[in-house]
Order: sequence, then C-alpha cells, then structure tokens
Amino acid sequence: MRRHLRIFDFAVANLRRRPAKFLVVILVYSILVAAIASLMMYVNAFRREARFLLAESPEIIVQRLRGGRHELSPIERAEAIRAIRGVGTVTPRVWGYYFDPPTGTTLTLWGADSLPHESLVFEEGEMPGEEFINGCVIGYGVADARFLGTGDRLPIKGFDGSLFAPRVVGIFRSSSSLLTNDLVVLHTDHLRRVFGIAPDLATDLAVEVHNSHEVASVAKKIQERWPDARTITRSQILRTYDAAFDWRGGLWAAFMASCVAAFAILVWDKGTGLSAEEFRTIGLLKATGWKSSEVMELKLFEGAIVSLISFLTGIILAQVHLIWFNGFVFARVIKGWSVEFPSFEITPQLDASTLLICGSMSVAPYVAANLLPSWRASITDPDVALRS
Amino acid sequence: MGGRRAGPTGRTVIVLATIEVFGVIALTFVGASTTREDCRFRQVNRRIVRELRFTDLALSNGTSHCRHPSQADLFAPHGDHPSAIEHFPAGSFVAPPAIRSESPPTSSGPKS
Repeated sequence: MRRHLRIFDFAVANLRRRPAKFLVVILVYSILVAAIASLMMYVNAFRREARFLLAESPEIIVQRLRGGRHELSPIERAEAIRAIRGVGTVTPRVWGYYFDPPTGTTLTLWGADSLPHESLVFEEGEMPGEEFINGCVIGYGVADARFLGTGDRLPIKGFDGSLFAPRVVGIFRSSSSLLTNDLVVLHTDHLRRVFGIAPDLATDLAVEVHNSHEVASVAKKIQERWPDARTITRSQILRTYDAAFDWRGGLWAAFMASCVAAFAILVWDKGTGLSAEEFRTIGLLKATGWKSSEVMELKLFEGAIVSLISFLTGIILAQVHLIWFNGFVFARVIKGWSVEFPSFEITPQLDASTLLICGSMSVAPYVAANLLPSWRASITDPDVALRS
Repeated sequence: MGGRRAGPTGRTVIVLATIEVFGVIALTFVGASTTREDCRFRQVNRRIVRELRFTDLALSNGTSHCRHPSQADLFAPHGDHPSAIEHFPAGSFVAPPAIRSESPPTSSGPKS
C-alpha cells in the first residue's frame, strides 16, 4: 500500500513539474465533459418535462381529413363517439393560428370556456369570470412582445376583415411559458366569430377514454365508423416529442462527436509522441530499479488524476450552466427557433446514465491513450531510453 | 509522507477531488430542490394541459408543423407545392413524428 501511495505522490509531483501543460489539458478536458454532460442533462430535462406535462393531454384527438388535409370536424360526431363503450367525455376543440403583423409572429388562438385561475396574473381584485367571456387571456410572450398588460386591448382581424379587440383580462404566468407563450385564449363563441367557424363545427375532437388499455380499440372503432377521420393518441404525441428531442440532441451530439474526436486525436498524439524528456525519465526510473509494472502504475495514476479532476470539474460546470444559466449554450437549438421565443426554466437532474456515458466517452479514452505509449517506453531497455 | 498516508502533494489532489465530489453532490441537490420549488407550477401546468386539452409544447411558433408537431401532417413542410423544401429554421430542429405503428390500419391519412 505504501509503495502505491509513493508512486501516487510521484505521479502528482510529475504533473506539477509542467503546470501549464497540466492546466491546459484539464481546462480543455473539463470543457468537453461539461459540454457532453450539459447536452445530455438538458435534453433529458426537456424529455422529462414533455412527458410530465403531456401525460395529461387527451387520450385521443380525432381530426377530419379532406384531400389529405386537415378539415373542420362536425360536432355531431362527438355524440356518436361518446356512445362507444369506454369513452368518457368528448370535447370539441376550437383553435387555430393568427399572424400578428406588428410583431411578425404567428399566435395560437385557443377557444375555452374556463381557465385555471392559479396560472394567471391579474390586476388586483380582478378575476376572469364574466370578464373572460368578453375578454382574452394571453401568454407571457404575447404580453411581452405587444407590451400588453391587463386591461389593454389586443386587436385581432377576423376572417371577414372585421376588427375584434378583446380586453386582456389575464396573463399567463411565465412559469407556464412552455405551454402558453404564444397563446391567446378567447371564449369559444368569440373565437368562432374570429375564425368564421360555424357552431356545428370544431377544429377537432378531444376524446377521453376511461381505460388506457382501450385507447387503440376506441381509435379503431372511430376510424371504422368515419373513414375520413384521423386519430392521434396520447402515446403517439409522447413519442413525437421523444423523437423531436432525440433529433435535436442528436444534432448537437453529431457536432460534439467531432470535438470528442479532436480531443482523442490530441490525447493520442500527446501519448504516442512521448517527449524526449518523458522517455528519458522512464529510462531513468527503470535504471534505478523501477519495474515496468511500476512505471505503468505511475502513468495510470497520472492519467487517472487528470481524468478525475477534469471529469468532476466538467460535471460541476455542466450543473452550474444548467441551474444558474438555464443552459444558454444549447437553449436555442434544443428549444427551437421562433420570433416569439419561450423563456422558461428547466429542471436538470444528474443521473447515473449521464455519469456513465460522460465517463466512458472521456475518461476511458484518455487513460488508454496515456497507457499504451508508456507501456512501449517501459519495456524499452533503460540504456536505449537514456541515450534517446 | 509517513505510514500509509499520501504525501503532501498527493494529499492536495485527494482533497481537491473530495471537494469536487461534494460539489457535484451539493449541486445535484440544488438541482433537485429547484425541481421541488417549481413543483407547484409544474402541477399548475399539468392542469392547464388537462383543462385546455393541449397536445403540444409552445416551443416554436413559426409554422404549424413546428408549433403542433403531434398534430401536423407528415407532408406539412411541403404544403406549398410538391417537393417544396422545408424553409422554416425551426423545421431543421423538429423531427418528423414517429411512425404511428400502434394505430389500426386505415386509409384515412398519412399519419395513421
């Protein structure tokens, strides 16, 4: 044990003999680990949040297609769907998009009859009861872009060119921006007027199914009954988001793979091309009685010290980047791109898989690249090594 | 450098590594506490999804297939004319929906 500790001490002293080189390697190495860990935690946080939130989305959405394109659904279908065994409520959804010329952005207009009060910011004493029927509730991003506060009016041009200017009775809290950033919620009747949707039509139908095992069977029955219907189940929605974040994470991962490759080449180059001084040091150690296994142990300790310090520093940097800086380096790509950019906090979570993947991508190659050339040097005759 | 303990140089590294391990653990707890603090808001957000029957996150609002990827047509980026090239920046970052294999076979649409 004592012998190992002395070799460990010698390894540290060896590294301290070239502090600049030691620190540069640790810096580059830490940044690489931080980038990989940040990306993994950031994508996982989004995937987790999407699963958490969309677990409450409707079990089935029924759309109607005409000529391969989405068309308004007749509300009378809701009654027939409700009659299918296992179906709970069937709610017609009325929603659509509205291009807002002043901000150059596309808003999502949503029809609702009520809203959860705790998600909104109100003027003192004001609550959307009767007020909501004639007003609107807007997302934090819309309020920010249009400089709107509660009590202001939001002008919207109707389908027939008429102007509709509902009063803003509430603004969604910024904590819900992930869902409501570009949203304008109007009373369903008013939204029908804006879009020119007849009372017997809806954008689509949200179907509640009591037993989650029966969702596929209900969807099949709906499609058999109405050949022009398209059903989208909750599991399909969740899979879509898994795929979206895999795709976005994959884009960054592809970019980072080149960084990892560059780092591996750097390490390999450094390792294979042992400097004359390092070569002589190994020769000297061998000449003074060190065995090849002890030289290898020395090099293993050197690699492990650099790797461990860099790995831990990198993980700390990644956590600081996500917790206090909201992952600003990756935010644009992972969240997406838009004029109205949602601003919300993510909840990073360090897990074993992140540690294992980061470790295997960075620590293992570094230690291996350090050991191989040292092994070659350690089996060289000390006389040859000293004369090199 | 006596007995079975590392010398002063080795000890520095061991102390540094220990501090960093504690740093990682502490930050993991900070991250977890952030989640707990936001828990009420997350529950509120879930309620918004439930009550308004949302199906998508408000990530990119440039175009419908990026704003509501789960509701969009597979051919949505090419809606202008056949073989139109995707021209929305967000489209580069939104993957096409996964194949919806669990849906019953139908001839009603490209997604089913």
